[in-house]
Amino acid sequence: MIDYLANPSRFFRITNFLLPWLMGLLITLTIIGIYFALFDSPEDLVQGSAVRIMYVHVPSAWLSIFSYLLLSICSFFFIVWRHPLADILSRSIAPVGALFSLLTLLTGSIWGRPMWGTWWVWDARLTSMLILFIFFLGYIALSNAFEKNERGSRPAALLAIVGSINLPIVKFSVDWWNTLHQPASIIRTGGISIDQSMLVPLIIMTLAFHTFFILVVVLRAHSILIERKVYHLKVLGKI
Amino acid sequence: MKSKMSSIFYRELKVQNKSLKDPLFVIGVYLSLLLIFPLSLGPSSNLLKNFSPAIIWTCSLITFLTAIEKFFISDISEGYLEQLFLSNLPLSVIVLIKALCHWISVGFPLIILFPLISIFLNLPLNLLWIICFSLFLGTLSFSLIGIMGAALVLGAKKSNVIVILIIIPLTIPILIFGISSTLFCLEGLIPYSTLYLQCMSLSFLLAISPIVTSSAIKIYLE
Amino acid sequence: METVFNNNNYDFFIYLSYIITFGSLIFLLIFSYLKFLISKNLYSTIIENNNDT
Repeated sequence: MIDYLANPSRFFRITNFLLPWLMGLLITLTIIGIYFALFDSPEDLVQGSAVRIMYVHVPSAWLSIFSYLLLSICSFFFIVWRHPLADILSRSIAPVGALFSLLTLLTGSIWGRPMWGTWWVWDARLTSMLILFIFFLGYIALSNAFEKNERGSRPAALLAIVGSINLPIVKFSVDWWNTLHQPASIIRTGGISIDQSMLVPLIIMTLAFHTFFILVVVLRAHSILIERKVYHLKVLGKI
Repeated sequence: MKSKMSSIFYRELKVQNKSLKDPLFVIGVYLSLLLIFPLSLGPSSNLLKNFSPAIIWTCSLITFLTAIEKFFISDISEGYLEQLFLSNLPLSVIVLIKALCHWISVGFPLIILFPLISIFLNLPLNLLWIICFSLFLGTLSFSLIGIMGAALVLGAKKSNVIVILIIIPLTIPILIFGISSTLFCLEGLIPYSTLYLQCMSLSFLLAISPIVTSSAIKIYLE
Repeated sequence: METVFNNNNYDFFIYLSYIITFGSLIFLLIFSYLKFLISKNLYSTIIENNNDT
């Protein structure tokens, strides 16, 4: 299936057809998700209604990890098989991933203020998420750093591959560093065994975020495809 | 092959240390960065002792990152890199030699200087050699990561900003392990576990960094 | 039981987080959609005339 979709013009046509459906799906899922998250789900025993922030925080975290994984896979495809669509997808994924990691940090900080009393704590997961955000920024900076835009594709793909090997090491070292310097407060999350009434809004919000991800990546990939086509036509002298 | 490698090695050493004053400049940069911390933290020795591992490692990282993006520029402009690329020697070996020479010109003076630094920061001196060894492992890793970052931004505009953005996430595990080693040493324990972790990251970088750097140089030379 | 249930008003934080999240997501969506529309309309004639490449 990857081969079938890998042809750029076929990708173009199929996703062009899918765009209105994706938009409708996104709006439906978002409305249902917000209804369930804000109105229909129960409050936590300890945290009160602030657990509702979890329905935005956890999907953001999952989506940032997901986009980082997809970014490394697409960069690997680009380095090994030199497929132009892989590079276009990586460039489209990077801003979305950066936004999701930033949102995870912001919502986590806002959630932390009523829970832990501070806006920020150097928790292992928060620190790893911050490093992930900086990694996305570095990728975006490197891929757009060159005069001719496509010159930056392969260095950025190399960076993504090195970063993907490096990020588990970072996660491990930050976890270990955090256990060395145990924070004084006890951090409580929303509960490890999650109840069904809380699981439903979480799943719906995650699906909504995934649809958002696919939609924005496809939109950005389209614009990059068109710009590259025009650039190549200019270079060939046909315009 | 061996004579080729040794000639490249000596040439690199001469280029990076044009005069005998160059290690002094590196030491000067390190000392001026180091000076900032006691001035901002206050001269009471307690705070300084608590922060000293972080101070040592942060200053060495910044010293390694000064002008790292210009590492290949003189070689490119002289056409030396193309000549090396065309020779029989694999580019990874050349990159390793360059990284080693970069370490010798930047890291080695720091490690020689370290007993003096420990007097400035009032550190207990019994496990000094272990700290020097962990600094050696860490700074060698910094050289390898720095040369990788420099190769990735070859030919970019605003490369001095981007290279730091790229390099810092890659150096975070090394910083964490190194500072933990130094912390344990300052408390009087020999940090076997963190030294193993530092060796692991160094060997990992020794494998990865030449490959990535040579790929990036090949991308530039196309 | 009153001591167990929190009577604190977390509404401000909830509204803040949801507004920031959905605001930035909508912003990114609109921005990407505008980019998409602009590239499509600006170059549609060029692409059609040169569709043999």
